[in-house]
Amino acid sequence: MTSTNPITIATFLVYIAGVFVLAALSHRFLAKKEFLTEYFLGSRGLRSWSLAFAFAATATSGGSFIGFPSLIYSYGWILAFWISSYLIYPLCAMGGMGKRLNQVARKSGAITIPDVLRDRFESPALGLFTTCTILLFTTCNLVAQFQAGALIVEETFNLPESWGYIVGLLVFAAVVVIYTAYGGFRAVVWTDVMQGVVMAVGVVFLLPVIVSQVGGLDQVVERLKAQPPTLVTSIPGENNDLAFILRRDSYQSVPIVGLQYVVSEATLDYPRATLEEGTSEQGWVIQVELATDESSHVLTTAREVKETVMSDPVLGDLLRVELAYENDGTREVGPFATVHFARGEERLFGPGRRPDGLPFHPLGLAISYFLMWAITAMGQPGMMVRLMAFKDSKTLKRAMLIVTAYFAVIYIPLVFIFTAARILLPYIPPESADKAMVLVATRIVGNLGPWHAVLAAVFVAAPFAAVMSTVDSFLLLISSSIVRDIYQRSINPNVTEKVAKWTSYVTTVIVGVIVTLLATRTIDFLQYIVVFTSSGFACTFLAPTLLGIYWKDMTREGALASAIGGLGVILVFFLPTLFGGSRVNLFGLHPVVWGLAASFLLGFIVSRLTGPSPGHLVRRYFYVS
Amino acid sequence: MALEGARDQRSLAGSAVDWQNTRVSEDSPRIDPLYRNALREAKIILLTWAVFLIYTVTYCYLYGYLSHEGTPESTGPDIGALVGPLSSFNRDPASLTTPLGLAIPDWVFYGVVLPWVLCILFSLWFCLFYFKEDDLGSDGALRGDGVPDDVH
Repeated sequence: MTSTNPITIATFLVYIAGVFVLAALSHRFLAKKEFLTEYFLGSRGLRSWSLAFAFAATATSGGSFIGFPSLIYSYGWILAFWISSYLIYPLCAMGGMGKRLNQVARKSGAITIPDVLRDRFESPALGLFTTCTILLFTTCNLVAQFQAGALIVEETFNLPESWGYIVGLLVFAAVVVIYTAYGGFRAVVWTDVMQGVVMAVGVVFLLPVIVSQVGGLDQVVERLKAQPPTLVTSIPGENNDLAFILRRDSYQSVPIVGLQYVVSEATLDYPRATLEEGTSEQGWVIQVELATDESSHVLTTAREVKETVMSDPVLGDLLRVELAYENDGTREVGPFATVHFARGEERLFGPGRRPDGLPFHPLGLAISYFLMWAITAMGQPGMMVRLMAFKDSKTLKRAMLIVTAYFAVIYIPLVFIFTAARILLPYIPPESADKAMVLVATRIVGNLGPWHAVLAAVFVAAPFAAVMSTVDSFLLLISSSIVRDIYQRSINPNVTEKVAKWTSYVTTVIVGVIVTLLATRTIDFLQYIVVFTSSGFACTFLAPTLLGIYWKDMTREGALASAIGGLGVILVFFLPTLFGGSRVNLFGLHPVVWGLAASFLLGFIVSRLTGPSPGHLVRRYFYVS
Repeated sequence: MALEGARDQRSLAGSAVDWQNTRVSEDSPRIDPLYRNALREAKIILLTWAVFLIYTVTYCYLYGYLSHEGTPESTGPDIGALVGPLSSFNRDPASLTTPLGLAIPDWVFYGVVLPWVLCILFSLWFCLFYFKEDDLGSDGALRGDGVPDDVH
């Protein structure tokens, strides 16, 4: 096991200390300004750089720096296409409705997005419904983000596998909950600025180091092409961390496409490996029959699978088996499925091959994701609330330019870095793929010398910063929903400043504790959770908000139908995933396309049926006297 | 200005709004200029998004895929089936080039990196020459205790 350099750990701790200093400084503002507006919206005083980095840092979540690299590591350059709509993300998400949303929020005095919808349509029902939606999806997303933060701490401090994750989770939760609860919105924005700089610096410096380690730019593509076929992922489950690599001189003649673990009909004392034809439509499959006890529990360990396959005269010539990253091979393998091999050159092209052999990014999903990143970004409450907080139009204009340049600096280099990282760390098993960023920083860069150790700390801080900047804004989003939208506006309108203050502090902490408890159970591929929650938010919030601020004839019934309909479609289409199935991609398109279509359509039709809009609302929000 | 005023009046009269006995007359309210500018800017942004969608998705799909098979997991016919057989576009791995020696595959360079650069240039034009710096108005939330009228 390679340990993390102490300099890396020390630099990382300095970064954490910096976060607390910013929280303490911002806490001073809370005493000077009206509490709720300051705590949840920074008194609408964001300047260009603050807005830009607050926005960019919130957009680049743990998904961007943990889940996204793990997908790049697994599938290669197709992820550049997958993320390509980030090229126009800032224009859409900020320019699409930033100025108008800010104005409407000012007119109504809104602090949260449910506030905006409630006031624009004079509908407490819509306010409460959207608040509940925020609670649902933000909790899901926070659980995934907390997990990402825990993984970073675990890997950075090289904690033992048995308890490292839990300790990492507790450390991460304590840091982020304390500074968010104590400092409020302003602390979140200031730390976002610092975190945004750290992320950019991390990526910009990581790029040349990785290129140098691979052997130069001209080596990156050639070495990727030369990689022999490997399993895209090992068999699902925690103990299947074996890497199966086909020998280059053999796979051309024997079209092996997959690997399958099965329980033998007869009880075996030792596993048996064979090459089976016809079990897959595409070619041969290596089948490993596992030894079991009388209760059908698998007894075969990873090391026994390796020895069995390698000692077979036919299979031993065709492929080799390696114990994957930091694995001693003593645990039992299982459960059972067929998984497929992907050639090295497949990571230079589309569509990418999923573990089940299906294309990773077919055309329908390519269209969907281009829609999803840029357009659904407009419908994220965490983003929208930042658009309610900037000072003037000039601020928004400058911030858009900054974020556009910032994303270009971040995303293309990330794809480059983690495609190349596969050359340097070839056998990270899928259950550890989310650690790819941290492993590259600590295991490759951190051990190159003292200065590189400092750089490694910056690289580790980059995903940590990304996760923190998302978590802090989500924590505030959820506590603002409870304090403002539920408590103040529905239960106790005459809440005093003192009660509001302590309710906000306590709510933020309680939410943090609940999410920490939920995050104790780990999940694979964080990015998928981010995609689900982003889709849910967009289909609930985008149409009512966008139509609400740009279309005079939108009615409260239309807005409610739009929000409920969009959310309903997303939940129905994702429902099969609860039972181990796949989400429904009707006509090959992602559910978010259908959810948005339903939401906009319902908003339009129901508004036409229930119109006209109340004149005083139209006058208030669309006209000047 | 006179032309703008006339357009505002027409818009007001054409809207399906219950004006509660408000007559469309000389002293009727004027359309908020920020609303009008923001709507125009949003339309341009949406159009630009559509242009980049069509270019990037078409280019990357045609020139960046080893195979163009459908997706069996789809419920219903695959969208690829709508545009005919695409197998002639299947890439041969040996044909891969890396423009400018940047170690970026050709299809990513022309399909993603190049449009990204163009989009940055467009953003510069949009922000510097098209985007209007409208006045956002006063802040209702900061007039007192941050609570809208309906709460009290």
